[in-house]
Amino acid sequence: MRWLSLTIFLPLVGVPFLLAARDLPDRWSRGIGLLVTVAAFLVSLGILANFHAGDPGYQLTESVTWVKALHLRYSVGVDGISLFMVLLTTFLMPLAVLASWKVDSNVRLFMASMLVLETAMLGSFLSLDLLLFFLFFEAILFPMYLIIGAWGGERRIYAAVKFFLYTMAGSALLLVAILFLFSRSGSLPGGPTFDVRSLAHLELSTTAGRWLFLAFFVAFAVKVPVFPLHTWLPDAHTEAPTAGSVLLAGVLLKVGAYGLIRFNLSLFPEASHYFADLISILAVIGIIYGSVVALIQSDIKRLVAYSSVAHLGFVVLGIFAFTLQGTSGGVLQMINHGLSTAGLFLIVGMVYERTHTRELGELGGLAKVMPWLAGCFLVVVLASIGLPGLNNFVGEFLVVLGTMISNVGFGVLAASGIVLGAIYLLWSYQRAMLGEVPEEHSGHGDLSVREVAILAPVIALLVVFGLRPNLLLERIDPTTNAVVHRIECPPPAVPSALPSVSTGSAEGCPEVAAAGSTAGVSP
Amino acid sequence: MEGPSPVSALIHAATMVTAGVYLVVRAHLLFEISGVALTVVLVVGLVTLLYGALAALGQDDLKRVLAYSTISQLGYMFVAAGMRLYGAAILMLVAHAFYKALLFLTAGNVMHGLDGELDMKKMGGVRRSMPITAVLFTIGALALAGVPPLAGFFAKDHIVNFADQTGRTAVYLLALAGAFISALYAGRAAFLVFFGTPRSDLRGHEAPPIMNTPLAVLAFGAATGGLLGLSTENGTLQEFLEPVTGPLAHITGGLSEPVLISIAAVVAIAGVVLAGYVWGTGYDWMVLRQRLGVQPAMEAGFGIDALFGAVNEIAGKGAARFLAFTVDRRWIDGVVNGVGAGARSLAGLGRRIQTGFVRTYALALFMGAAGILLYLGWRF
Repeated sequence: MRWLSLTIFLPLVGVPFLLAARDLPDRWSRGIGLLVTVAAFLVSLGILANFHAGDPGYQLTESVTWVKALHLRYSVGVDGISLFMVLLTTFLMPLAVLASWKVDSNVRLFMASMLVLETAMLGSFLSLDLLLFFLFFEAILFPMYLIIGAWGGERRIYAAVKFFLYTMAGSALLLVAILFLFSRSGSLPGGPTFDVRSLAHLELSTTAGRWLFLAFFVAFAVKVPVFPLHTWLPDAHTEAPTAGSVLLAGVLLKVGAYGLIRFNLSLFPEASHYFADLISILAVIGIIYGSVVALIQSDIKRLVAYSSVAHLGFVVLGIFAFTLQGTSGGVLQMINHGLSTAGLFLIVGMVYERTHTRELGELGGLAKVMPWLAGCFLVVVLASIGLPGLNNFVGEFLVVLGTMISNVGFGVLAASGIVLGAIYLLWSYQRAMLGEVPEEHSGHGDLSVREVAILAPVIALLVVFGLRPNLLLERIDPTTNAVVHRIECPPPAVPSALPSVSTGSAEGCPEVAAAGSTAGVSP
Repeated sequence: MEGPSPVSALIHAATMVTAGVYLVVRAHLLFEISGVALTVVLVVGLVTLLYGALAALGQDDLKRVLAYSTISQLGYMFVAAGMRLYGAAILMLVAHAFYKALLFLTAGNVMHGLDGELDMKKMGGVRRSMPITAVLFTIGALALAGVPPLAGFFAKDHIVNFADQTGRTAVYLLALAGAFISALYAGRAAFLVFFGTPRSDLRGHEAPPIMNTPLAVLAFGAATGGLLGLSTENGTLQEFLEPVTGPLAHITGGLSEPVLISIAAVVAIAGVVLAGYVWGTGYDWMVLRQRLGVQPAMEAGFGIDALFGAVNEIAGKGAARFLAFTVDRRWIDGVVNGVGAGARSLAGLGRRIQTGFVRTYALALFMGAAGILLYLGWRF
């Protein structure tokens, strides 16, 4: 069974129906969207079922020559890092479709965009061929551009164009770097190739490696976003419809973080080491800066957007700690943030559908009017803060622990970001949900059945992953362990290129190998 | 403090705030390794106990008296921990849990009986309508004041006396002063609320037995909790904890134990008596406050709250506002939008050439051809 290809392309099955049938009733369009995304989720469970937890390498691989002249191959595979990115995507898609039930203009086109987006995101996570990855990576932009630009809020065009151009600028660098790698790959045993697995053995000069690293980094840092490349995010998040915000925060940002681990770390280990401190500093700035700026936002969607800047700072900090705890924590935090921030945006969307405002100053006391919605909001807020027993705690704990091992200063600063997170989230909860209800909002209804169906799975996973993080970690750890090991102990094939780090890293190697697994750490 | 009375009782008495003391005792090995940490704990505790006691004396809101009193009592526990007197710190924690929970819940009774009133200025003589509550509150207040033989006496006594016995005379005197103020504000609350004549037309009603029965249990604990640790060195609780906390520091001297105990008892009783004289026997307490002229500062908790509020408001929010609206929106996003605007204006310059008029293109064509001809002519 070709589980990966089936999952990637299943969403596209719905697209011809949606595009061909001009007079399709909106109900049908929504139905097709939901049906196809649910089917994709069920199929993606097949990947999970066939995934071997102890294997650090790529699994379920498929490889077919696509364009011979370009040496472009359709190569896909899944490992511990991409596995849960795929599942997160297929899990959030049906929820995002359900959350878009109230979209009533051009529903056909909206659903088609969503399905194309899903294929593009899944393809990005599963590609093992750089050019194939680039195609999927770029393909994400178009449906997302449409979703923000056509179904967004008041300043949607500005936000969509900014999102598009910003990401494209980064992609241009990425493409150049990919082509440069390809041009040097002729010396490899299999001849010129875009395959990540082969390119990892490519010998590059230190200078070339560092420049290529920077090109890749900028492309992915825009997506993550790493401070100071984040200003597209608040605009895009704020203007996007609920589904757009959910997928932006839940999945798209992860494509950037995923790219950092998959490509930057595995293709350029020496440069990763060289730039680690600089990137960690940016990540710490992002954590504190994002939290402080979130604190003062009056628009609740902007607030959540800046909170993403802070939370993704944790992810990047963990990845570049180069300890098993930090890197595993970073990957875990990608999943956790995907769930909890998606939850926040889903709930904010529900509040907006009722009150038609995102201004915290115009809200208040909604817990009296819609107690169930407020209760769900509280759980998600507490998860985002990192309350022990809910999912984010485990990830943040591992990141801070892993960072402490490599650099105490960064660890201390990152821990202070957790406190700031509690301040801005609890404060916004208080302003929106507690106190007196404004007159115009006193008549709103509580959660509908559809909304319960959206929130229940999210909240269930927040609790499950909070109590049993090993469900994730035992599959993540083998791969992150291999990644960390590769960074800390460069393979003997290329020692000449790494004069500056060879002494320092040699001491760390046995430790990393002996550290084994973070799966023993649980609350 | 703003929470419902049972929540206040739980948070202020038994669990949350005392967690700090528990952690210091639990992690005492770390504190001892540090060398200076225990001294910091001692000094912080001393400042806290005096600050809390003075602030409690200045409050007119019954529950605020109890809240500040908790701060002061925590100060004692920290002083004990700072002197490595861990057993006494835990004894105080336990005793305090009894009498402070009792006081908060009886305050809840009063509040409930008086339609939510908490201002002691409007109370007085409540013992006539709420006799059981009055008895229970008085037991709690006397325990808090450290009147023998109630729980607070033993707990506080060990801590205060130990300071003298280990040669810390300044700590001893300040802690003793704190004990006197504790007795004063505890007595003040009891007398203002339950004794004297009513100062408003609020007429309370007694709480039902279902509320008073648990309070009786707490009152029993507040009265007899001292039995857990009758002696500084070998009380039941201290011996129970000794495997964890280790042996006590050696007693080096100071006054003899009976003298110290007598002084502590006299100070506590004197405080309550003075409170009774000032606030219980018809003395116009409004006049006293005006004569002393320090009430506003004490009532405001010496401005600590206001200071934190101002720091948060001015520095915290100001910094956040600066980052969000100047740094982020103007500077960082300004650069982003500036790049966009730059590209646009560059394109605008290029667009000028494309006028759409044939004559312009013809002119350009002509000039170009002329230029090339001139060049060729010059070249050859």
